[in-house]
Amino acid sequence: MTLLNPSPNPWILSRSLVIILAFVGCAKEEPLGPDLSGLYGELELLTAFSNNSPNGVHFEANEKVEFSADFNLEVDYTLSLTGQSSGAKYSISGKGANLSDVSWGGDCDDVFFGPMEWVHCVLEFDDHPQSTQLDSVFVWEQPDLSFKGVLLTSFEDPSAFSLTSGDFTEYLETVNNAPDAVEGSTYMTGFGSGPATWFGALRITMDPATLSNITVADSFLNLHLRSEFEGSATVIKVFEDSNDDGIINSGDDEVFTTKVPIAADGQWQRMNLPLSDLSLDLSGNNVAVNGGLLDLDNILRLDITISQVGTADGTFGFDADYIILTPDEPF
Amino acid sequence: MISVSRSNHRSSPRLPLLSLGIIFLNSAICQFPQFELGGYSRGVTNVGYLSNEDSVSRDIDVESHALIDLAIRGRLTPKAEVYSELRLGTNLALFDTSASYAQLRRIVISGQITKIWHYEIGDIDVSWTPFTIWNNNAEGNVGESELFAQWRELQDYENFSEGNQWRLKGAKFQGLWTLGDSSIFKISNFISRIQASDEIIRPEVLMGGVEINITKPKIDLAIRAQDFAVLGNTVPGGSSLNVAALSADFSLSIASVLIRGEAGGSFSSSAANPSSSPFDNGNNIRGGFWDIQGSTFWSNKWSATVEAHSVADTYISPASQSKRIRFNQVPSSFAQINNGNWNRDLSQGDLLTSSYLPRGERPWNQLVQRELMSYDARYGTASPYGKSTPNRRGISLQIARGSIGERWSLKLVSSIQQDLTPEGVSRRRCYTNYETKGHFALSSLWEGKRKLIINGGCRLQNVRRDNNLIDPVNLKTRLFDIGGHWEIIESISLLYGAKFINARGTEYLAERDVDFVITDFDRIVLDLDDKIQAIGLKWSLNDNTQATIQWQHWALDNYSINQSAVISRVLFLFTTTF
Repeated sequence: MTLLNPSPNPWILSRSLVIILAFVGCAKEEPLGPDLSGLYGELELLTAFSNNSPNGVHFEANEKVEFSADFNLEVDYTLSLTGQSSGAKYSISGKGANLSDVSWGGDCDDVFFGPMEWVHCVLEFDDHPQSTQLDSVFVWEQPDLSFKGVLLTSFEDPSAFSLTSGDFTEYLETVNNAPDAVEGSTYMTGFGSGPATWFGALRITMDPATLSNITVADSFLNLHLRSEFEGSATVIKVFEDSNDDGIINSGDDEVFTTKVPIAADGQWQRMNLPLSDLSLDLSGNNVAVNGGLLDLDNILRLDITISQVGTADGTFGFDADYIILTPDEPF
Repeated sequence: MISVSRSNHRSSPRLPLLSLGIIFLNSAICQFPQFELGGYSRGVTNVGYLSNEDSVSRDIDVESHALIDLAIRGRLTPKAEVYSELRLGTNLALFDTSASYAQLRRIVISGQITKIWHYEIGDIDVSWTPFTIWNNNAEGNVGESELFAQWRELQDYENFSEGNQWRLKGAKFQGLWTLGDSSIFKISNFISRIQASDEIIRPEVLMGGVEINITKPKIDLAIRAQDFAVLGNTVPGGSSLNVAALSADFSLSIASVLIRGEAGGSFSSSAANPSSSPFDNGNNIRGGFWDIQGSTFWSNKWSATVEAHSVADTYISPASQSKRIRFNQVPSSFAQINNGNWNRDLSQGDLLTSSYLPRGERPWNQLVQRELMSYDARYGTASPYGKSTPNRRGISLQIARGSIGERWSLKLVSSIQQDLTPEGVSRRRCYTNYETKGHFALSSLWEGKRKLIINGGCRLQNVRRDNNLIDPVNLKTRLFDIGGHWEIIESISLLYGAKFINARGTEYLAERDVDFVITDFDRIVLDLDDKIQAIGLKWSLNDNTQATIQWQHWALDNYSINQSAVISRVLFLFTTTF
């Protein structure tokens, strides 16, 4: 086809037609967008909200609470569990027409659920606030969640840790038979005064052989901390035996550290610290040996020191409980 | 006599600015340069009153202005002429010159490159088909009264939305070949800058297209291609996006029957995954449409058209899906009424009488944009984006008789549409639409010189979808227009107009992201009335000069939130063209 002789070229027209028809849309099988029934339908419970532990759950026997309910719609739901004496909380969210996959093995958000405790279970629906359902379950024993990782200490066993005081330490001890412990009945408390940054430390001896599932890139150090002193912080220090001589020597072995402020709200908080946040400490006499990379096979000790955010003259400190390393995800 | 609108012969502007008498300045002296002058002038006073019950709010709103638009065409050389519209105005608010202003409303340089090729550079007008490039009319008009129509024309004129063209900044080139067998071969290209980059967050946006048209005595063929391109490299870290479209249409005329068909599609790069190319099969978005219609004419007055069409849910066509009205805007006056208790939506009266401010915010849109703009369900949800509304298929029948200059005219339209793919549930919505409009010269029934004409129309739209688990869709929208024109004496006419809009029922409006994926639904329950009545006098000083004063009464009722209000307006409009 030339411009001066513009008779339609059959080849061009036919190809254009094929291309155009390729785009022409057809009806699709699946409805577009989110399910309207889930958003705006009237929710009905086809079977009532309940659980499989009417006589309570024995976590020591590896029991789990399995919840059940059937709905007429696919709905977004949140199951919130609250311990009536411990104040522990845990929530499970999901979407579906039933709760067949929802179970609870004692997990908690901050403090652990206590033994001999009623737990209130509230089932709420994001788009149907008027359809909230209630249930409860009795917990006989506190759950053992150490299977989630490598438990460093819960302070119940005095041989698993040591406490080191300094000139500015005022108090550094364990509190036994404490009903307000995160888990069990013992936790550590320590504080000090003065314009210092080291008020004592919790020391935990590490055995690299127990860290086979732990990697620097994907693992977390999980601590439960509580403070009432404004400006308090903890400095986490990991000591390597970099030269493999069996002891930690300043100037010969690498130290990795990070500093974390602690909110002074008097409430237990769970802190999930990625191991990748630890950086090589070159302060003082410390050195870089293996390229500044944390090597879990050489770890000998973990220090959790009582410190402050700045260098002010004041009182600083915190309580600590249940310290655990977890692979792949936070505790 | 030469019309100043010649450089824009496709636009057919409604206001008479561009079809006025021309003054020859110096054509008698030499051939070039040669200048022609035309103009449009108007004075407006717009006074709004809230009802007495609204004692806390500011209860009077006054806006006035006077302006003149001077259209100047200068034929500079045989290859170039310039057309400009210069606006001089004042808002009549102050008795000094601080409220006065001068603007260049439009400038176009045009001319013949060769005998074949013609060009335009500057503010160009582009319009193709309702599925490709089309500036859809604003909602709320079905044979409305002259009192409302004059204000709608004013708003369209101010918004550069005359006809169905988009006013773009760019260049247009057109080649035209006429062959011996009466065939015409035409190539039209345009390139436009839709958005200028601020080099920080707002990228450059361009739109261009090519239209190839072959016209033979009974056959017309056209192929069109366009691209709406966001240039990501004009901002730091930006991503380029394209919406490319290809379409074709044909028409065949046999005796009194005309058959026309059009089909096409868009393929767009994903904004959610902006790295993908529109030509990459992985993440691009494809959507298509088709439309076929047959028309027949008889007895020189009657015509009938049957049409069927289908548009995919992912058909993206920025230049035919952008709306003329930005319904997410607040009213420019009395936005909060009932003593601050009601943040009302845009009513039809707001659309007609929205204040003109040189750089003010108005609900009228002038920009082509990729995202689907929000719409007001009170006008129905069948075709909020015109014929290219995504995810629709349907058929329609239209019967028409006569035109405005005849004793009577009538137009009947009936259509049934359906969701092409169900939205949110397994059933499709069904849309029925009935529309009629026309006029009748009552004065033709008796002897006399004074005209008495009534006109009007109605549109009834019903959307239904049954469902057991959620409230069914059952939205009914109605629009009635009534108008009357009585020539009291030769130059003075008494005019009446009424417009009733109401919407009742439940609908679920899809919220779509920039890739047209439905992300959520907004459930709305409408129970509202939007009524305007107007009465006025028109004084025709001569063929080119008119003055109209009218009183409007707006009754706004939103029963779903128990709010009602009354707004009154006095509107004075003086226009003259030369």
